[in-house]
Amino acid sequence: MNQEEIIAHVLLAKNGDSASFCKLYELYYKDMYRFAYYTLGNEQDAEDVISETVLDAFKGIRNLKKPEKFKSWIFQILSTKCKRQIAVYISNREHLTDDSKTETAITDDHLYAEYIDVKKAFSILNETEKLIISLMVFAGYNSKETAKMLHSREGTIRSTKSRALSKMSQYLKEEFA
Amino acid sequence: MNEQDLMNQINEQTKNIPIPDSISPENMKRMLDEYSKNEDTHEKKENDNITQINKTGKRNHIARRFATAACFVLCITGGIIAITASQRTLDTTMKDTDMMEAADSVAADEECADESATDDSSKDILTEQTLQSPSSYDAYYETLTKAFSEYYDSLATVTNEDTFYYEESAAGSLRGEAVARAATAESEQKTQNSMTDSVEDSSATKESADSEDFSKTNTQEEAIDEGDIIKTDGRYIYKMIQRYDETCGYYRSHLTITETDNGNLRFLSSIDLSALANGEKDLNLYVEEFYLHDNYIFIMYTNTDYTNELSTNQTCITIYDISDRENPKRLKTLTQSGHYESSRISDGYLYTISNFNEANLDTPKPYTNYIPCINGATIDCSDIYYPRDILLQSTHVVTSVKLSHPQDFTDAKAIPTNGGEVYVGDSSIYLYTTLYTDGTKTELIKIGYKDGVLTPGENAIISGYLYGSFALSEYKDHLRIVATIPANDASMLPRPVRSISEEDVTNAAKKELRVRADINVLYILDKNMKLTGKISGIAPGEKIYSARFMGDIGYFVTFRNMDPLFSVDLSNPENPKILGQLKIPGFSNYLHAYDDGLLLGLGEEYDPETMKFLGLKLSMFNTNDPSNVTEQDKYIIKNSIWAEAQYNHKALMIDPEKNTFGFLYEEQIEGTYSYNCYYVTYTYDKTEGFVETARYEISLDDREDTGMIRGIYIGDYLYIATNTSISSYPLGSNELFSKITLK
Repeated sequence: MNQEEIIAHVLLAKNGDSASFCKLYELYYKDMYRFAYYTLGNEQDAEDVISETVLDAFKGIRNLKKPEKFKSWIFQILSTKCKRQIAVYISNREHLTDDSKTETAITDDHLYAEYIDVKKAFSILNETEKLIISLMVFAGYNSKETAKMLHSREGTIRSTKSRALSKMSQYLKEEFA
Repeated sequence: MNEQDLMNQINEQTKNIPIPDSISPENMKRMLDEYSKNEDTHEKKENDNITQINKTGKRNHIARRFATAACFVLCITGGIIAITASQRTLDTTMKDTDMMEAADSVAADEECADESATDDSSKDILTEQTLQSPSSYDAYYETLTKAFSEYYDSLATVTNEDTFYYEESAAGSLRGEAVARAATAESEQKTQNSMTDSVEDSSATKESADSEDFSKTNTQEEAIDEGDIIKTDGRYIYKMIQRYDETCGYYRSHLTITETDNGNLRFLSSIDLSALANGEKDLNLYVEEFYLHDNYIFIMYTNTDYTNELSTNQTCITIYDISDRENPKRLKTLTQSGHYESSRISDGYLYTISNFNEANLDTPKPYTNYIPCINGATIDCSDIYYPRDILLQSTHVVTSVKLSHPQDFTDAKAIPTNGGEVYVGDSSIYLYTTLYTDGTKTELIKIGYKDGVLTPGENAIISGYLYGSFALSEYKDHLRIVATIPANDASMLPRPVRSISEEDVTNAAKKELRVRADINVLYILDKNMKLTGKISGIAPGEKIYSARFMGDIGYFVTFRNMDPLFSVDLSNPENPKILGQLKIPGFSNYLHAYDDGLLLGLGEEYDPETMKFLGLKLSMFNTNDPSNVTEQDKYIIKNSIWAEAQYNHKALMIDPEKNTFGFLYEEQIEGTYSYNCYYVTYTYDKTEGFVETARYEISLDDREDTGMIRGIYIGDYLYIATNTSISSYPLGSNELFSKITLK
């Protein structure tokens, strides 16, 4: 879909056309899911934040003034929801065991080894590091945009990013060489 | 491993993740239609239920409910496996066809591939275009909207693939127009006016530069200061700290002033920088860095206003008078549109670059929708410089402030660009941006500066991307550049491609298959941004990891599994020559001139056979004979995995004269995934090599934000400043001398 079509679909979606909205959603939902899954580390919560995001975005698209910014706009909503979910985790510290059952079930099947490796590598990061890596890898933001989103200095983002990446790189090399 | 490669790898490896069917576009459509129906029929109850569930933060089962309604009779766990299996098959087939296509194109290009790898750089485009100023805001609006509609028209008709590659497309349309003469004349006038009163200043700054025994911000160019989060004048330490405030959901920054006296510390004052928002709660401040000049402190930050939907940014410079260090006084705030990009101090002037990218062309008025403001007023037409083929993505605003009289801006210019980063040499500011639309290219825009007067000049576009600002060097009116032209599958693009459509990406990727391996090029441009000389086809298959230019000689490091350190003779800009290359395992991310013809490298060591990472490495190169550089010593830091100084030169404390340097690094505790963090100092001895002089463990609290940690020395003491404290130690000793808390 080119930029022009995206703009056209946004205009239609603003008039309540759910089909157009879903065409746009289709462009990004895989990235959105990866983003939510690796940030939250939990499949069900990822599903939930995505459906909440879709609903909120559909309700709010009327206010989107720059149609060409659809992607960053919907990711902004998604990352806010993820941040809120992370805050819930931090207050209950309960999610750690949550996903373990399905995870082992899938790991047994070696077909999926790759993305599970990445998930394990994410698990050694702290919450901020996860969010930053997800924003940069899955949503494609640069460090400046990430800084703006997380209300932080760009320097902090760069430094956290490279620290997180070097941890992941070590982990991936040692565990799955 | 290179950061970008790892990010690409993560991206690749997670592409096939099974997506739960409940969130498929079809099911989402059902959910939305149901929602609209409820809205329409005013079934308020149902609706309230949904919002209530959301508000209480409990699991929201809307999507799964619709999935079940749509007759996917699967229990949750069983469902995941079943769905993933089918998804997987689908993806694999897709991947296979993709790969076959790619393989086909590779086969087709196979024969000429190796030639094209070297041949390619002969096609580097290098065009320059001149900039012009609009006659009025309305005329400018017309130009901008016309360019936009032409652009979208052209998007709709892009079909002819063969015109895609390097030579034509961009180059053809970038033909220059006459310089905005009026504006230049005006600048010249300003130059003359300001020349007279600038003389006294520079002598004043020189005086204070004598007999200094304290560390300064490690800058790219010796004579040009860069902002940082710590500064010292030899007696006081000025340190920025930031803490996340959970009640308001953003970072609060403070600037603290601490008096030092041979290791003794006395906390003097702390300025709450969030107060700069004047209590308006919808304003958010992102304090980036600051400068110190005599009794003034210049705080550089972005102020984001969330009250309007575009969340507009403004770059602010707030000046404090610190003659009384216990009671700093706020003097003045200068503002310019856009988020803070970068800044430098050169010859008594502060140059600030911001990027205004929220332009809105829906209506011709208000002008502030697309004309940047300086201190709240739209910038004059004669100060706007736009290229002939303008397509407004963002506008860079460049300003200057005289440090000794920081009452107002001395000059301000606005230049529409594609975004970008900043390098500042002795006489010019360069904005550089990577363009991905057709091959990887870098656009460079030059803005001359002298005594606060800014003169936007010529542009150039070169093939390849720059690894960072150290890839550029201005010297004797020439600009030297090292660039990497990436090999071509999409996953090798240096950054995730954004803001162009997926089709463009695939096309670009297919086209780029012609270039089979990364290659590196060195360019030399004259002051009009015209090419005078270049070396192409350097180190096929490798990328540039670091570069450092020192007068007539340049050094740069490329890497695949060995680290060639290249030395280049640049004394004749028409005929640069590679003098030599040294191959050693690993690579250096950062190079710094040390004493006696030595060059320090900070990087990573790898086993050249297995490519196993062995730790951070310090190298000392002997460059006395640039055509025969040798690695005189090396030192591998045990269990180390990462140091901020590899990527951020300001995080390195270094003074070759005092023969000391220090930085922060992270260590992985053997056999575990827990980490330690140290600040460590070294000295270099010709016979003993690198010697660790001291190491300091960083507390868990401070490790949360390692980017805020710096080490500096004053006299015989080392001071380590974090987000929470400053500690002092006699240089070379681990023994804590004194410590204070920052607040």
